[in-house]
Amino acid sequence: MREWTPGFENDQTPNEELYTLAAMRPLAPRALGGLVLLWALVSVVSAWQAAAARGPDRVTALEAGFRALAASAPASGDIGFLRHYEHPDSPDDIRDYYVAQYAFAPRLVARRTDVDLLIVAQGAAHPDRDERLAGFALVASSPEGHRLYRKLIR
Amino acid sequence: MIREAIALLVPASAIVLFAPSLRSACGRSRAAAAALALCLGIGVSSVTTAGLIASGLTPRDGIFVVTDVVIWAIVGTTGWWLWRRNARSVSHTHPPVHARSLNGLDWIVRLVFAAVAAIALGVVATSFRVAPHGDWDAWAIWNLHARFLFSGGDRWRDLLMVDWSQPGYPLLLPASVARVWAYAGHDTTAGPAIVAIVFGVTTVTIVMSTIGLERPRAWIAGALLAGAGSFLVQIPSLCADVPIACFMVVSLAAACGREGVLAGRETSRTAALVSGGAGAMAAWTKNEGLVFVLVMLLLVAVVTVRRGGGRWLSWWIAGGAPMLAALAWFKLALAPPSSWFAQSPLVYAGLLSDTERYAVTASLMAQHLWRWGAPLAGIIPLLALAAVWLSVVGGGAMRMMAALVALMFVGYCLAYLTTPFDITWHVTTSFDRLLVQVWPSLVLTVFFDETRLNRLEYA
Repeated sequence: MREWTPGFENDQTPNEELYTLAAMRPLAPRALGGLVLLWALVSVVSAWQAAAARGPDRVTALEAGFRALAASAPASGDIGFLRHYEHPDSPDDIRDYYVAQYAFAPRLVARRTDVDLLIVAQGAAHPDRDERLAGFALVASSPEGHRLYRKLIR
Repeated sequence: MIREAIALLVPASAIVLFAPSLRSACGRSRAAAAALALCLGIGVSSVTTAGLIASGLTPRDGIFVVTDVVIWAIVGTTGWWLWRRNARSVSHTHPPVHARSLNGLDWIVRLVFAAVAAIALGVVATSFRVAPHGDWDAWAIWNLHARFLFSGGDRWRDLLMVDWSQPGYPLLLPASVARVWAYAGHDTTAGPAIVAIVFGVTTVTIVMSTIGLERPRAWIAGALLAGAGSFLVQIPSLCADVPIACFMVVSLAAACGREGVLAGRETSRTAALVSGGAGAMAAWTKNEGLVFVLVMLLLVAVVTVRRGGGRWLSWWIAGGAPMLAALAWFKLALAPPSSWFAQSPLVYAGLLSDTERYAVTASLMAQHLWRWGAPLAGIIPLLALAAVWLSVVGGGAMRMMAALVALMFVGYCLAYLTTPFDITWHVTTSFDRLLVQVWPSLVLTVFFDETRLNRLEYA
């Protein structure tokens, strides 16, 4: 690289001129710049429309519901999560489990029932009678219908 | 929000005091210096945060904030003292400033940029309002890890047991969010949001400053960069792709700028430290950053061999060493092994010799490359063609920038070809975000004017 010397501004090689957009014919770079700005405007307005049209976020509601239950749990330890009685590996059930872990962190949440505390997401337990909840007592519930159970000491 | 902002300003202020020559690293503007201080402050403080947590301090406790403030006060005071001592013995001579008045074209370009930036901020604010916890990866990985770090106490390592949450991902982002929450006093949704906004704004500022804020093309590049919907939506997603994109472009800009590795006698220690440090921060942010830091090291080494400048390479390595040491500690001592590296060489050879995988990968990547930036598709292929042309007819900086983007792309291709996951699922769910990582570097490559380096224009 050459060192700076006064007047270097006018000392460009043809190669440098070739790749410098500003060295193109006067109108070309302006037209190109105008097109780029137009692209940016259309693109950002489109992003705005997409953001404004976005529906309510299910995760936000789920997290708030589980977080309300977390206040009733000890600060650390393992907690169980009841799988959906009918669709235990559905995307919704997995999402609910992940959000429960997010809301209950730093506690560890596992999809099992051999624990002292058990999270039951809204709709996860059988509506009539769920045998998996035998031996558990309700500790807390959220307005969204999520519940926290504790194993009864026999 | 004020406490969260203070958390970011504390290390940034200390870095400004410690390295007053920071503004020379990427474009010689105050905006660049502020942006650099903010993003480097986040990067360095994530290491101190991880260290404090590993040594038993919990961000939820007040003593953590006190300790953090003391650390940065010591850094800032030491830097200020060193600067005062050097200022007596070294006289800084700056070349003359070439200021010119703005013409009509300048004003139009700046007004359009302002409109794009205002709408972009509106998009980010709207997205935060609708989904304050961000996208799936944000709450299932990054902010989940941050919650373990923030309030896990001596059980913060339990995050490594959540096997579906990518426990091997580095800690820069979760540690930064946990640190911001420490200043806030509790885990707020504003914490990750302010970190994400800082990285988004910093990325645009660095690109524009490196091109030269006095030039219309910088404002056009800024509008293009910030206006791309696919890039923009990744800011409120609260994932790590914009932060890693930021560190990548900072490292590249410092290496190819006026005082970078190509500058011969005018190379500066600050630029080398910033470039190496930011490159390592990319690796400390996300696994793709490891590819980046290796590619950058390769390019810097090649330039060093061809043009001399071993000291610049040494400072580059010195800048990256602390972050890479933190990464090595995390990866080797704590993180579970990645399923990627658990495959035997024979499996890799089998995957790489499967021609059908090449066809599927190429087809899927081509679709995403074309659609990225929709509704106006094709922007990445167009800029990539421009970058190739500029690298052919341009100088060393252009070639280095284009080579970096190309080699990152090759790295992504290799990752997909050897993925242990279903290729279609893997490409479809991740390639748009990988393009976000190189987008600022690609824009910088196309709009960077190498001849400006020889003209001494100072903002």
